[in-house]
Parts: sequence; structure tokens; C-alpha cells
Amino acid sequence: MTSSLINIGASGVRVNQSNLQVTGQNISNVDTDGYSRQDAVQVTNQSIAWGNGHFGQGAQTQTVRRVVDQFMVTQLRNDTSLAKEREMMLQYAEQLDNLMADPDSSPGNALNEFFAAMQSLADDPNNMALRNQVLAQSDSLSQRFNLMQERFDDLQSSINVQLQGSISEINRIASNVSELNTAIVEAEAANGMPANDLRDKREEQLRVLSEYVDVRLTNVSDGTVSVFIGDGFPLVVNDESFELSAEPISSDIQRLGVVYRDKDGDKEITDLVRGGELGGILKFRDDLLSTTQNQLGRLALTISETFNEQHELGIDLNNQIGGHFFRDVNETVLMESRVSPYKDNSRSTNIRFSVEITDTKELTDKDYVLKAVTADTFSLYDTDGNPVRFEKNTVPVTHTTTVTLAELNRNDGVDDDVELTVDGFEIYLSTDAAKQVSKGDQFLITPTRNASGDISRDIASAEEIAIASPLRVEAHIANSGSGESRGLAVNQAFRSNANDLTFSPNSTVTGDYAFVDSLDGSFKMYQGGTVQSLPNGVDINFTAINANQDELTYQVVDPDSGNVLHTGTYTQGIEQDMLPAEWGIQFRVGGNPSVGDSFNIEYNTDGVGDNTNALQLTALQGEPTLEGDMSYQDAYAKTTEIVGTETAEARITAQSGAAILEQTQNLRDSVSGVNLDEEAANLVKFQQAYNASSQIIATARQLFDTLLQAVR
Amino acid sequence: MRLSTSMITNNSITGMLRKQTELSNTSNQMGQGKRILTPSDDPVSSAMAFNAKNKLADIEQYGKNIDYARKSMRTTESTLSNIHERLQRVRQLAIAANNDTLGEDGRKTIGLEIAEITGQLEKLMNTRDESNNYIFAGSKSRTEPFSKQPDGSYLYQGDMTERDIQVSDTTFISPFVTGSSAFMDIDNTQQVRSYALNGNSTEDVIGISGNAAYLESNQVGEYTLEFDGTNWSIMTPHGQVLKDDSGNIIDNLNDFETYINGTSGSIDLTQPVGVQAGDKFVITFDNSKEDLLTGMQRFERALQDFDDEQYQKDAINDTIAKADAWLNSISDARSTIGTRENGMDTHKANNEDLQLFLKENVSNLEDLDYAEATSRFVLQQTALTASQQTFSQISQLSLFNYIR
Repeated sequence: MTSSLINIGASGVRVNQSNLQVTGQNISNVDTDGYSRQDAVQVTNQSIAWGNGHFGQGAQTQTVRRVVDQFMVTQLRNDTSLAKEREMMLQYAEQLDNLMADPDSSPGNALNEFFAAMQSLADDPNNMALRNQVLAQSDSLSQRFNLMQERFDDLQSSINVQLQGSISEINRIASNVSELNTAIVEAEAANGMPANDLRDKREEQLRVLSEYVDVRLTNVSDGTVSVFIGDGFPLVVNDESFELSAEPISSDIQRLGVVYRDKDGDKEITDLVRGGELGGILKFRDDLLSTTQNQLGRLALTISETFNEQHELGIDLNNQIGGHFFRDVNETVLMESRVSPYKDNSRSTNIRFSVEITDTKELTDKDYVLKAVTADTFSLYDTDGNPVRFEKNTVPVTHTTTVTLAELNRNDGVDDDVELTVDGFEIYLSTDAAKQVSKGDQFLITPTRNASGDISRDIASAEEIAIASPLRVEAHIANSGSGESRGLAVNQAFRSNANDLTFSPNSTVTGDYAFVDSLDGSFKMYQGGTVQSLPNGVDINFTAINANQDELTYQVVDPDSGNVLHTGTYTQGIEQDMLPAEWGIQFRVGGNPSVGDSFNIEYNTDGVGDNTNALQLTALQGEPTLEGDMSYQDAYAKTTEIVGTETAEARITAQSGAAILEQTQNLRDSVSGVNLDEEAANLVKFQQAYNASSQIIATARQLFDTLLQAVR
Repeated sequence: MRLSTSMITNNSITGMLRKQTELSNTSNQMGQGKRILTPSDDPVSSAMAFNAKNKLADIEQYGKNIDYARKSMRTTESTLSNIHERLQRVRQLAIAANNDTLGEDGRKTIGLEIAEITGQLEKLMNTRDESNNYIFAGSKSRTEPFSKQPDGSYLYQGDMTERDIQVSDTTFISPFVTGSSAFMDIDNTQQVRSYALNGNSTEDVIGISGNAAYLESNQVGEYTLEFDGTNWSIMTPHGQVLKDDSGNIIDNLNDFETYINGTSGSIDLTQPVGVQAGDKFVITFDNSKEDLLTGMQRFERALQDFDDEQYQKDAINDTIAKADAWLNSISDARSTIGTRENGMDTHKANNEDLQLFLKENVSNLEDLDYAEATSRFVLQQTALTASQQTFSQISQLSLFNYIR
């Protein structure tokens, strides 16, 4: 009886010692990451049945367990993944947002200043200070775009660095988890009891893993956990871990992707990776950064191209036709830089393509993939995988989804006139010599991506800014009617061949025509099968009137030779174009001319005070040059707005992600976290119980002593 | 709900950090005076403000353009006003010269003054602005528009292009008039007149039928023809021996016809009846338009070489009518410039209204409401202080303090 009481007391002492130990463990781990509070599970000992009842035999500690809610652990991991993805997205989006908004670096302001300089020059066209100001502002505009490209490249490379870092972290954690799997199995096999601290460690590692990438787990009955990434690629199975690596994605050597290392061969899983830092970075890069970069590149392309086109319709201080103001967007090296072969293309493939910008209005902000469907036919897709149709320059225009190598080849003598355009650009073979291509080969086409870095001023000196119109019109001083010029426009200049006077530079006209020759900056005509100069321009002479006095006949004449280039009729009082539309120049007359009246159109030699072309150039600022309805500034504002909206959205989702994570963390902590007050109370409680159990032993000893004295 | 110790700490810290971020945002806004610091703060307002600022930049540039145009208009106006003044004097002199009581010497004196004024007019018509551009040369602003040719005549070297200046989104105004419209395009009576000089052996004149072509400025005026018995010696209005395009001297009436007719004239000259060697005749040609300087030269010649010949009297007489046409043309040019300047003022006022409106607009879109921001700042500050105090209180609460 007494010995049983001693035993009971002893069991109480043991149990409460364990309890105190667990409490101590909890207190000392109050701030340990991933620690789940523990409690010692206390149960009664097997009672002994006597005739008069079952007598309890004290208590024992059954096991030490972690207080964990598995649902919350999983939830915490998922929410960590989500919050981290959004946080990353926000972090990068804010960089872009600041970049676009910064008045000192954004091209938006530089664009205004450039056009303001152009306007001032239009006021006073041969003022050299104003001309130099235009050059300086065009440099500043180009530099702003170049700076943006540099920043895009910086972002791109910091993304690459972070991607590499994330992936090596993932690999490290995966190997930790596999080691922990082994340790847990071993530890639990020893006594069949849960290895609480190891399991906590593993859970914490998996939580940290979810900061980098979203993973799926399977708990195996032997105590190990299997980790899967992407669409079920195993990262950890049992005691084995698999590796990821960061390598350039096949389409684009500038961008790193996620490659899964497998003994059956490497697999690119970039598109399958979601959540966490990786997911956030990739989402930013492939959505927002690409779009912004392409849109800004498209703007740079459009400014260069449209400004050049108009500039080439003016004449400079030396009476020469304007050249490229900005660097030509269709320089060979630029055209070839817009196409890059996939790195996994067949080794024998040596084909090269050029992408020529044909219509900036049609350009999109997308990238494209040209794929060899067979060794001889190609199809085009956008980067989302949607097929894109080629437009073929047949009459009428036809559309096709596949094209042949011969059609893409300009100089092989087959289908030479075929032009294949897509969304404002044309694709063709760079050279016709080597054209080895294999089925399945792919080429990434990026018409706009690097254009912000390629814009630069091409014009060398301030005198070469072409401000004046190449032609001037004069009414003869003796005109007696009220006919007057309502505008002279040069819509196109042509280039004759100095060595071949029979060469007709304007192929759209049949018959004779007058044209502005960009070869030597002059006004010429193509007449009787040869190119001839027009030293005194052309006269428009009203030669006769019909009986009703309402219709005049007029002739376009070379005053030198008297040769007639064109004859037409003019209805009194009705403004009309006097020259055939295909000539590339146009002259409008209004009012009531009389017979004998004449106008003269000649090359605007020394017309240095004319600003006609400057006004056309400044007007470009307000013209719908992008996507058919946006001006330069509209396009810049739209891009800024997209970045702003995306950033604002990222900010809200990042905030909500963080709030959700905080809640889940709280929920998890409310179950598994250590509360010091609780532990203090437990400490008091277990100490008291320990004292009481010791008292039981003392009592048992006293009882025993009493009994012994009774017998003595 | 059960709280863990770390939860209590973490939640307090998170709360304080958030409040600090808000406080720092408000402080940034107040520092820059802007409600929108980056587009993401309010993408829609930010885009609207961006557009408004572009518009403002345009209007600012139009303002500069208007200033430039006004300056050019002032130069043009004051030059025209000077020319007008000179021409009024010419008109007075023409009337004075037409007085029969004035002797040859009196006419010569007037002639000298006219020559002087012609020189002044030439200089005024070749006025350059401060950028060294000839203001009456049209677009050929680096070419002297009225330059004296080797034969003494004036030829307009400019063109008819008036440079437009943009003063609003849709309006272009030229601050210039071309020399062509102000000094060249002046109506005259087209006519050919034939005179026999005093002291000829016959009263008959060289017969004229048909019309002359439109003549160049150096072809206009009086030709002196002297008969030597077989040939004619012909002097141009500028006092040179008449030659054809190839440099051959023209010494008969047929070649003279060809010279005058060019491609479109139909003048037919007939030799006077009874003409003898030493007889002198004059034929004068007038275009339907005559430029100012040619008219002045003709007046000057009539006065300086005055021989009481009829053609000279006609020339002096004509000048009175011409001077009125000149004054009208200059007045027209001045009123054109004046009207344009008025129009420009209207655009300037419109631009200024729009500018005010846009500035207000931009301010509403992105400027900070300081009253609101200040009270927000105080509120956030209070909240942060409260969090900090609460944390320091809570962190002192521990059961361990009571277990001794």
C-alpha cells in the first residue's frame, strides 16, 4: 500500500518534471522561427483491481507532441507564396513607375521640348542658333529614349540575377528537405515517437521554399514529404532532391528561364512556374516589362520613321533634299537585330531574316515567333501562340497563314515581287546564299523591343535641317483673273539615276510627269522616256474657255521647251487639284482665273525663309501616328497610364496579399505559438504539482515510519 | 482567440511600420506639394494631367511664336510707314512738277530729290530684321529682293511665299507681306504711246497697231529712236543701245517689233511718212502692272532730262495717278498687317484663357490640398504615437513579473 503510494508520488514527480521540461523548452523557443509549442501528454497509469475497486497507479507522460493544425500550415505556405509573388511584382513595377514619371529622365518632356525648338525654328528658319537648338533637343530626346533602354536592360539583368539567386535557394532548400526527410525517418524509427523539432524544421524550410515558388506537397506514411513544382515535377521525393537551373530561355538568350534537370534530359518549365519570388519576377518580366519596353520602342521607331519621312520632303539651307534626321530604322544591322534564332534550332540552320518596318501605324507591342512548319514553309505566331496571318501584296491583297522559303527570298528570281507584311513590318531573308533550315526551327521576332536604344540623331549639321518646301509657286504678276494658289504640297520625292536617264523613278505614273529629284535636289520631268531638267519649273497656263464661260482648259508646260506635260479642265470657282495624283506633287487652285493667266512652280532655290516643311514637321506632333489614332504624346501617356494602373493594382493586391498572410500567420500562431504568460502559469502549476507529488512521497514515508513505530 | 507572445510583438511592429509608411508618404506629398507623386498614385488623373501639361507646353510655344510674329509685324509696319511717308512727299513733288510755271531748273531740282527718295525707298524695301533676313523677300530671305541690275533697272529677286507662324492649334498667321504684293503688284494702264520729238522734219509719228506682251521691268518705259537715213538707232529707257538676246544691235523697226512682242505680243510698227535722217521719235510702253521703283525711275528721268517734250509731260502727269496707286498699295499692306495683328491678339487672349483653365485643371488634378494633408498628417502622427505607447505598455505586461 505504502510502496504503491511512493510509486504514485514518484510518477507524479516524473510527469511534472517532464511537464516543466517541456514548458522550459517552450519558453526558450518563444522566438524560434517555425517552432510549434509542445506539450507533454499526461495519462494515468494502469490501475490495479482489488476486491474493493480499481486503484489508480499514478500518471505517466505518454509522449511530447507539437500543437499543430496541418490545414493552417498548408494555408500559410500558400499565402506566403501569393504574398511574395505580389510583393515582387510591386517592387519591380514601382521601379518602372518611377522611371516613367521622372521628369528628368522620361522622354515625354523631351518630346515637348524638341517640338518647341522646332516651332521656334519655324518662326525664323535660317537662324543658326535656333537650328542648333533643334539639334541639341533631338539629341536630348534620343538620349532619354536610350536611357530608358538602359534602364530596361538594367531591370532585365537584375531580374536575371535575382532569378539565379532564387533558383539556388530553391535547390539548397530542396536538399535540406530531403536530408530532413532522412533524419525524421531515422529519429522516429528509434522509439516510434514524433520527431517534433525536426518536423518543425522541415515545415519551416518548406515555408521558406514557398517564398521562392509555389509548391505542392504529399505526406507519405513513412513520415517523409514529397515536394512538387510546376505541373508535378518532383523536387524532393523521400531522401532524393532534384535540381533546377537558371538558363537562357530557348527563344531569347537575354532572358533567363527555369530549367528542370532530369536524367531524361532538361526540361524548360519557365511557363509552369507560379507563385513566390520566381512567379512574381516572371510575371513582371513577361507582362509589364515586355509591354512597356515594346510600347516605348514602338514610339521611338515611329518618331524616327515619321519624322524622317517628312524631313525627306523638305530642302535644307544648301537647297538639298533633306536626309535622315534620325537614324534610319531600316538600316540592315537594325533589321537583322529584330530576329533571333532559338537556341535549340537545328545546328545546320544558318538562315537569317530581316524585319523591315513598313508602316509604323500598324505596329503592335507584341513579339512574334516564326516557325518552320516544314523545311520549306513557315508560319507566324504571337508569343501567346495565336497564329498570325501574312498579308501578301497580290492584287487584290490576299492573306495567308503559311509562306514558302521562296516567297521569303527576295533575290532568288522566284516570286520576286512578293512582299509579306504583318502588323506594319515585312519579313524576308537577309541573304539568299545560305538558306538551310530544318523543320521545327523557330525564330523570335521583336520588331520594337530594342528600338528605344537605337534612336539617335543622324543629321550632321544644323544647315541640313530641311525646313523649306522643295517647290515654290508664283502667280504671274500680270494675271487678270482672281485665281489663286490654295496650296502646293510635295507628298513624295523620287530619286533619278544619274547614269541612266531613261530610268523612270516614279513607277506609278504612266506617261509624262514632273517630280522632285532627291538625287541632286532639283525639279525635273520624265518626258518622252527620259529624265530632263526643269530649270524654270513648270507653268500652269489657262489657255481657253468654253462657250458657257464656266470651264477653262489648262496646260502644264515646260516654259523652256514648250512641251506639254499634262492638260486638264478647271471649273470656275471650284477649288481643285491641278496635277495627277500619282505625280507626288500637288497644286490646288481656287477662284476664277482668266484665259492667259498662269502660275509657275519651280524649285525653291534659296527659299531659306520658307518654313512649309517645318510646319509639316511640327504638325506631326498632333497627328495620329500610332495604332491609327494616337499621337506621340498620347502613346507615351498611354504607356505611363498602363504602368501606373498596373503598379496601383500591384500595390493593392500586394497589400491584400500581405494582409491575408498576416491573418493566416496569426491563425497559425494562435494555435502553435508560445504564450509566455501561459507558460508562466504552467510553470507555477507544474511546480506546485511537483511539490505536491514530493509531499506524497514524504507522506508515504511518514506512514511507513508510523507503522514501524507501532510494531516496535 | 489564443494569442502567442510573438503575435503580440509582431502585430504591434507591423502596425507601427504601416503607420510610419503612411506618415512618410504624407510628408513626401507635403514636401513636393503634389498629391500624385508617381502615376500609380492615381493613373487616370496622372494621364489627364500629363495631357494638360502637353497642351500647356504647346500654348507656351504659341505665346513665343506670337511674340516673334509681333516683333516682325512691328518691323514690317514701321518700314511700310516710312515708305508711306516718303511716297506722300513723292506725290506732293509730282503735283508741284506738273505746274507749268515751274522752269527747267525747278524740275531738275525736284528730279534730284526724286532720285534721292528712290535711293531711300530702295534701302527701305531691302530692310533686314535682326536675324539679317530681308523682310520683303518672301522666302528668299537671304537674297536682296530689290537689286539694281547692270542696266540700271530694278528686278524683284524674292518670291511670293509668305511665311506662316502658328499661333494656335489651327491658326497660322503671316507677320510678313512680300515685296511682290506690296511694291510690285500695282495696277497701271496698259498702253503703248508714240511721240515725235520737237524739231523733226515731219509731224508724223511711228505708227502702232496691236498689243504688246507683258514686258519685263527693264523693258518698260520710253524708247528713243533716231533715224539715220537707212537705219534706226534705238536707245532703251535706261539709256543703252538696244540689243537682242544674242547681243546684236537692233537697228530696224522689224527687229524692234520682235524684241517687244516676245512670244505673245502683236505690235506692228510703221515708219513715219516723210521721215528724214536726224529725226527723233519716242515710243513708251506701259504694262498692266508697274512696280514702284520702275515708276520712280521713269518719273526721275522725265524730270532730270526735261526738254519740254510731250512724253516727258505725260510721264510727270502719269506719276500723280501712279503715286495714288502706290500709296493705296502700301496702305493695303499696312492694313493687312494690322488686321493680322488684331487677329493675333484675339488668339493670344484665347490662349491665355485656355492656359489659365489648364493650369487650374492640372492643379486640381495633381496638387495637394494642404489643409487636408496637414490634418491627415496630424492624425497619422497621433496614431503612430498611440501605437508606440500601447506597445511599450503591453510589452511590460508579463506574468513573470509577479512570480517571485
